[in-house]
Amino acid sequence: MNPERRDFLKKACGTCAALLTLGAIVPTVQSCAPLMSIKTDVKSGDIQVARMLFTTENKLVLIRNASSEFDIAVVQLADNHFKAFEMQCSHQANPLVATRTGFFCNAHGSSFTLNGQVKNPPATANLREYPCHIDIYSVIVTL
Amino acid sequence: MNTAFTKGLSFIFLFCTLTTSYAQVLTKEDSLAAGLLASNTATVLSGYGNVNYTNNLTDKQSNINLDRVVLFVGHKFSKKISFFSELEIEDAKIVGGSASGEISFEQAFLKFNINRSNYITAGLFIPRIGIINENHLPTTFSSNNRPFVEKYVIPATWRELGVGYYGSSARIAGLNYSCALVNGLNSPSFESGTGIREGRFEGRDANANSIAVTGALLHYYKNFRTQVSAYYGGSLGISKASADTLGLNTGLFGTPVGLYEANVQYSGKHLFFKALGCFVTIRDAAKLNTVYGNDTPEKYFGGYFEAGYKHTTKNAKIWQAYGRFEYMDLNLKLPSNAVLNHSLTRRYIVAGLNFQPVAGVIVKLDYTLMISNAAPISNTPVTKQKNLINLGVGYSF
Repeated sequence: MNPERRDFLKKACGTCAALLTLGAIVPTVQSCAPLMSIKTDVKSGDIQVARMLFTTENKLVLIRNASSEFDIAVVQLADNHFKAFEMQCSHQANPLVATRTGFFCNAHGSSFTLNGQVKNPPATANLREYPCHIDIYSVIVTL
Repeated sequence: MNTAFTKGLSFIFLFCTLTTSYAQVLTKEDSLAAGLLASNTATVLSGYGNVNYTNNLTDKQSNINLDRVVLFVGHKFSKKISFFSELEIEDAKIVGGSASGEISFEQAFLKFNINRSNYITAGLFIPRIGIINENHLPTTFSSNNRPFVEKYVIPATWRELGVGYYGSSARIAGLNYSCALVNGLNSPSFESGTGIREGRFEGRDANANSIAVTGALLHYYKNFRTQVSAYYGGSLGISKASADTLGLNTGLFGTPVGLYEANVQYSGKHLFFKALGCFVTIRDAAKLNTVYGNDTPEKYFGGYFEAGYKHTTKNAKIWQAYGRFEYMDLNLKLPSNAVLNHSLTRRYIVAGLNFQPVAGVIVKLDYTLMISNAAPISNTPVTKQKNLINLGVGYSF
């Protein structure tokens, strides 16, 4: 092959690879932005989460309640449809890692959908769900 | 009258004893149903196991074995401190003085929560290296046998005594990190063909003169799970005087072993794949061979790729078909004083079908083709190729 042609192909392929890598990295970095979280200390009763915290990019808010052992993830599944889950793996009670696309347990590899359902074993039970309802301004989670 | 009274008392005593015992140990489901796991203390029971039938089509041999039954017991002392243990019996029966099964603790450690995202472990635990090491329950991997690379290159299930720190990042969603300080390996026990596997102490009378550090980064992004990990540690815990006499290096990181691994997994609604690569270095292999004559390699590596398709029926039964290719070269670089064994360059092709009638129970059928670059060094007539059919059942709860 002509050396110039080879050089051109190398550069073209390199540029394409770089663009593809960049294209993959940009959404990854956006997705890796910190999750929205709020801190509370409620022993029993209701915790209110402002609905304005839920946006088109952010469908999940973590409640870090000092009186609860595990975080609570409030997920917007549709416009007026919210669910709240305890971030405790149903397999062996380890804390879960929350992401924008699901919940993961590092202990044995279980994973759960944003709907709280088991996606990958060994967990066999879905996540513990807290009752929640909405009003105009808030999502209200009942402990 | 007295007899009836005694019987009545016995019955009441027995009833009280049984109900008290039952109340003290709850299953996970009971605990969850009662909401007790959110309370300060709770004891959790669970476990896993599997049976495997193997038909070696090449050698016209077959066998069936209760590979393992593991009992998990955990206890939460407080919101901050918990205990975890996995007690394993391999091959069903343990008989003193004969080659038989094995009873061992796979894990036994205390966990100290620093906060919601960070904790410390202390005791016998499994460092985050590879896939199978932490995720070794039969419902979490496809084939009847665990991937061969994660047996001979990464010696899963690899547990050692030490202290570990685990956490997840609040700044980067899905990023987890861990590091640990554990006892080192025992290089005099290394065997040709199994890498560092026979050098593990696994919590039994480990020599603490040598130590190892290990660390991992794990990231979840959409349906991907990506991990890199490394291990570096000493493997000779004998006294300095003995080491000097033998011409070996001892001390905390004497006769070092390095292990470097990366893996990525994808789990979609139907499609899934996983890929793993691992590289191991034993810098003083030549010196070890001079003293112990165990044909230790300086470098070896292995990797595999698995892909499959999962279908969940309307009544939640799961069918799964998959294929896996594994490659390992356990003699990638040999010192001049080691015997080159071409049978340690191997390829494995595994294809199988799994069925989960209910969450936690799995039936596995697979075909395994093992191809070596040469027949193993042996007195018996053997071939470079083996064909195996495996059929097994497993559970975890």
